[in-house]
Amino acid sequence: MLTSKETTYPWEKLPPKEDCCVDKKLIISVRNLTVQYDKKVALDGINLDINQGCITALVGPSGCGKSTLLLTLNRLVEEIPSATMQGDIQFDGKSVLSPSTNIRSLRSDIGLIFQKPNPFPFSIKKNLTLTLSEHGVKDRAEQDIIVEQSLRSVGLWDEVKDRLESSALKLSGGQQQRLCIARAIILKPKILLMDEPCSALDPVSSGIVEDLVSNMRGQYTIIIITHNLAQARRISDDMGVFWVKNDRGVLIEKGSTQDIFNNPKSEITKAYIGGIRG
Amino acid sequence: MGDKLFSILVHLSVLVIALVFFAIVGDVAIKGFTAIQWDFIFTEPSRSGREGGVGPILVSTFLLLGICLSIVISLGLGTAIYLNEFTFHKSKFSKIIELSLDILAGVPSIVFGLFGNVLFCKILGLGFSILSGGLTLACMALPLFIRTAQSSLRGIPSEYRSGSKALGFSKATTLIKVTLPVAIPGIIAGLILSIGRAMAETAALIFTSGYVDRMPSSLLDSGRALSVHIYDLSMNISGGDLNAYRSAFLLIIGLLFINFSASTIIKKTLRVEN
Amino acid sequence: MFPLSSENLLVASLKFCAGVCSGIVFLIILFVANEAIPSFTSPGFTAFFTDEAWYPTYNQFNLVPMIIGTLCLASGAVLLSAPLGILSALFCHFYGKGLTLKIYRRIIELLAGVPSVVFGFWGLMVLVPMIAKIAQPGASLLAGVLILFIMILPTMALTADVALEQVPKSLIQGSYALGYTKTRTLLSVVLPSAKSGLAVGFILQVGRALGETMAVLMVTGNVVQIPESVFNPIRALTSNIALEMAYAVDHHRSALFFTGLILILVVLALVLLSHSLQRTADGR
Repeated sequence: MLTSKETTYPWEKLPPKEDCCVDKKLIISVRNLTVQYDKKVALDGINLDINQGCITALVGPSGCGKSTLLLTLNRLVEEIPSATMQGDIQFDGKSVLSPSTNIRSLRSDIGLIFQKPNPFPFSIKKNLTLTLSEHGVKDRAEQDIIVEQSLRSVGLWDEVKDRLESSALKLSGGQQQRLCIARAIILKPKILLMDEPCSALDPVSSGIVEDLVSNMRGQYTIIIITHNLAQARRISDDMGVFWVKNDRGVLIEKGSTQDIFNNPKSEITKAYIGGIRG
Repeated sequence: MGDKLFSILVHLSVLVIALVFFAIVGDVAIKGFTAIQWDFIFTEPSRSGREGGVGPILVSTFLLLGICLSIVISLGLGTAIYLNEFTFHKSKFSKIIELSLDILAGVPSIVFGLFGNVLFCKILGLGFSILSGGLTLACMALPLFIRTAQSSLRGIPSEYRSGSKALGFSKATTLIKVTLPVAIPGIIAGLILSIGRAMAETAALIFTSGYVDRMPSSLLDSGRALSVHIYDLSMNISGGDLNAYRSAFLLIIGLLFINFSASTIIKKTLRVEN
Repeated sequence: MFPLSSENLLVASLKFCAGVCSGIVFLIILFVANEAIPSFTSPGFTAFFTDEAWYPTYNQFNLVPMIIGTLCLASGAVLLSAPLGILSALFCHFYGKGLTLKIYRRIIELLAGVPSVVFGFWGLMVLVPMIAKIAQPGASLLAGVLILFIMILPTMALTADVALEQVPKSLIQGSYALGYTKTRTLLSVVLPSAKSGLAVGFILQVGRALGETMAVLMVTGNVVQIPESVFNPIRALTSNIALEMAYAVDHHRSALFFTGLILILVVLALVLLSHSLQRTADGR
């Protein structure tokens, strides 16, 4: 597992992933989800199931609604005034889009990692403690323990333990992104949404973050957007392929990563996946 | 050849502007500085200000600024936050507010004087008082402060806000714990600039806070601002020139200090962000 | 539901602040207009332009000389400061560098912060006696124009500076690449593409020049007359309010408020104009 970077050549048939999500329990099911910005239909009738503990990669060209889907899952899309939503999202047996949903606990259950690392311009430690205090962990000693745990789990502790009080903005891009992941998992989320978490980083940092993500498999349910098909192939269990049809974002194919790479059903998927072969 | 001529023209005009600056500030500084003594700052004016100092006048000035500042902070910061964080640029309400602030910023100071005289002195019954003057100054300084506070809020990358919301922070927390702490230096700079604007003001005060140059015993007393003192000494009191120079020197020093610290704060924050 | 309601409270109080702030300008118009209204019936609106002269104690309220005085002052000051302000901005972007530029920018910022009463005071002490050596009495339209010009100049330079900053660098490089000289690039490429920004700054300065009180009051001599030469003393509308408000009653008082109302409306028109200019510039 740790050496997930063992070279997989794109032309090889993808072997099945080592299974840590055998029982295939559903954690999220999206039904007939349509999201519009004013008149523009960003997502049109999406149906998608997410398996617990798996890494689901969402791929497709820009502007096909992948990011909108992530923002809808933790209802951040509501911050965009023109957005309207229809359909249903079940998470843990509750309806996400229902008005009675407690947004605060929803967002701590479903963390979001942005494309560009966005630590607050405070100290490394304050980025984490602020998040803890806001969610009710106010005891200093307890905070310190959790801070260390979460930094360790993203492999950042040894790099920053001597400068917890210095500004988070002084970290490298990859370190910042890992801090953001630590900040999200400090809330013990069940799901992590990641919107191209590696694409704004240099190749080395990108590799480190990718390893981190793939190591979190099993522990968290991860939904990751990526433009890097090789990355999707390396780390994901399941995939959803999005496309733009008639100016609407649609999901054209879903299934296990193995199936999609080895036997794509749709012609579009075939061509899109083919891109990495030729 | 044309290039050379034009370049000379540009440099010449710059030279003229710089010379004008030194002529004015230099004149006031030299004549004021050579004549000023410490006790000028503390003693009471006598013989209509021809002699003595500006002690009570400085007290009145600070009281005026204090009132102005407290109103400007509370109302202005609230408005700037509302405009930038809680409304969308397209909304009609925010458009009306922006337009009305632009107009307010352009209203001549003498008109603020008329307005303050009617509303605060007459209708609210505060009379010629430091309170009336301070409130009038606040109306004047608000648009400038709101603009600077707004631009410092606007300068905050939106990733901080979306990051905060993605962590489940409420709007209030996002504002108080994330947005405001980042914007605070710019807001302080805006505040300093507004104090400068208020401190430089004369026309709006003549008919609101009045001319009385005694030590004010309450905010409902009339009090003379430093700028009004300069005006009165130079226009209405023969033989008041020297003390007018001294007062102008004090005012300029105060304002230079204020503007200098504001722009230093602004530049420092810019450097941190880069 | 607790956090929700406290959040609503926060938004409501912020909205309240915003409402109050935007209400001020309406209050100003309302109160000034209210005090000015009596003058519409007596002496009547036309009296401001047809009365014999400005003799408030004899109920004669002709504003024409003061309107002309104000217009002369403002147009003189703006016409002088606009080109100089633009040249100064050109210096900041295309000629100055290093320490000189840094110092110069600071000078302009500081000059913009000098209070009008100090400009007026300096004018009274230095400029007026200088003009008096050429032609008595010294306190004159010319002194007013010069002081106002110096006062407006720094803000004019700063707004022009901002306007030039908006000009895309690629445009300038493109012009150089075509072999245009520097002067030609500045005059035919840079300034035209910054023109709406410059115009907005220009308009706002007109408003400031029309509304300035103290500096003008202190150096123009304040004689109510239509000037025949630049050395004649004049009185501006604003100075008139400042000079006579203290003892004005009845019709006289409402005539002064009427003057104030005119000034507000002019500023209102100028701001609306600059907004629409900005909008067309943004739209393009």
